[in-house]
Amino acid sequence: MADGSDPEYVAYVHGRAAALRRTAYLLCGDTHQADDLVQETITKLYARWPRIGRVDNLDAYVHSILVRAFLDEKRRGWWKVRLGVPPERPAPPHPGVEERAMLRAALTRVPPRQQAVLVLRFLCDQPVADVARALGCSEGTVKSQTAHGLAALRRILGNPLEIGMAR
Amino acid sequence: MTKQADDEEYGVALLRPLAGEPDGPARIDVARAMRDGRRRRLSRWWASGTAVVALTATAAAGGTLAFSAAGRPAPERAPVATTEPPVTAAPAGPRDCRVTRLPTDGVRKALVTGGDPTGTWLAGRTYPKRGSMSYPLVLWRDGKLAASVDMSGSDQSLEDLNSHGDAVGFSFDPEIKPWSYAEGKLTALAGGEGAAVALNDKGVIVGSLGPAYEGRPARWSSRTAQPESLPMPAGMTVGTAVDIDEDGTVVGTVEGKNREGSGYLWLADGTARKMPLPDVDGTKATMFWPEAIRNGWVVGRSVVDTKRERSFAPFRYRVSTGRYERLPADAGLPQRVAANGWVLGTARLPVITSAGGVTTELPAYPKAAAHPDYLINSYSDDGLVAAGYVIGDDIQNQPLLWRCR
Repeated sequence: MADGSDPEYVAYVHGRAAALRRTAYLLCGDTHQADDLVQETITKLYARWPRIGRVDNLDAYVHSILVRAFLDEKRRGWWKVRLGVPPERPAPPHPGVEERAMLRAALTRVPPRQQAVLVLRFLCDQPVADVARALGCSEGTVKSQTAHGLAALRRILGNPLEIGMAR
Repeated sequence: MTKQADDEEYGVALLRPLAGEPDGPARIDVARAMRDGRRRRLSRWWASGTAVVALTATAAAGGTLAFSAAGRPAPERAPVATTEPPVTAAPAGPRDCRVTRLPTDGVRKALVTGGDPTGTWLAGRTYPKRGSMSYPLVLWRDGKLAASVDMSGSDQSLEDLNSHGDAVGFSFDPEIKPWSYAEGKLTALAGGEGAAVALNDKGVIVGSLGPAYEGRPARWSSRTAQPESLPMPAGMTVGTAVDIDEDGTVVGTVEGKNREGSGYLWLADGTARKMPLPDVDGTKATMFWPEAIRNGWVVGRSVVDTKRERSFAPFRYRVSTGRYERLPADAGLPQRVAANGWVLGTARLPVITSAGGVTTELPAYPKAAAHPDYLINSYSDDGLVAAGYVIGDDIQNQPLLWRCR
């Protein structure tokens, strides 16, 4: 368990940075933004580090800081993506790139909490209980947000949907 | 197979193409995190949990519904549903707009989440008090810090204020919970799970009851009243009130099963009706999403879904005539509307659309240079005071106030 000292903090951050960065990248889809989210997360963590010994599950706690940081940055801004600016449609180097771009664009049009729920559950393989803890909501809410988020993605992408379905 | 297991498989397959690793070396700076984090530990804080001014004083500047004749929009026009902005009245709009950062007493990051119709009161959230997970809420009066509000739960927010400085909001604890703030005191609203999102000068509060995103539209006739459900048409299962006008008219959205919501009006005479869907370039909109109501004006955006794309267009709607007016393309997406009918939207910058469809961009915050995103939550009835916050590549949430003449 962390004892609240600086060497403990440095060791902890070095040990977890890659995993945090990966989660941040999956949440926001952009390397630079992911780094900013991790930077903000570890800054918050350091600010709280002296009292960190009271935290039962440090990884879950840090994870929730990261998800909140993502939500705070996205909040109220998610729907503005691409508005007023025609979507850039450069010729894709190969089909996978366009598919990713389209999916990512669709995901950014889903409300931020639903984005977070979908990414954490389906890309990060996190159980419902962990996602609920990260978001500060009930497991029931995570389940309903999952259903709403998937329904929204279906609508945005058009139905019937074959994108991403390995068939 | 159960629906949930279906969803599980579908979700994993759907999102699989987004799996991947960030490119290149990390730009994470542990030394800087420690330096910044240490500063946050030490950051000074104003007296928490105590209102430092009486919140009962009525903000008098101009009166709630006082607005100048010059700022009044042109008389009713026929609905405009073309791509061309209406150009009829002589230009009359805001002048000499200036932006300032709202004070936060040393705290580096804060949001503005709501404001009152006189432009006197603003509410926001600050980040974060040293060593805690809480985000203290603050009130500003005339651009100065006036009170700190200690709301329990997470993601706390005061969403709206009236001209008396009374506020409503919500937090997650862990379910969403509605709050009222008046006379320096925070009280949980009756009804349990729900959200309070707007109130008028008579103290009537609206929002929703039930889980976040899945509630039903609701109204509290006062902060001590039991909530009443606002009626929804048959087949509609979910909805929320979005805003309330001074005459009691409530605008919100209702949605049926597996469909997104569209605009709905609960009128002051007790009747209710669906907002019509505007025509957008010859296509009937899929939905209309209202954002705000003031003095009989509703503003929001139309949503047009095609098989591959979703597009928005900005509109202003007059409750008395039931007519839409498409705003110019550079009006941005409407966020708030002033009593004089001017519309505050957000595009690259915040934009005011005044009489005759004249648009005026509000000035940028000079310290936000890289990809700033302006989020606006307050607009005064005279159309001259706006507030919100900015985030960008080089800047975190910074609370901003714009004043025009």
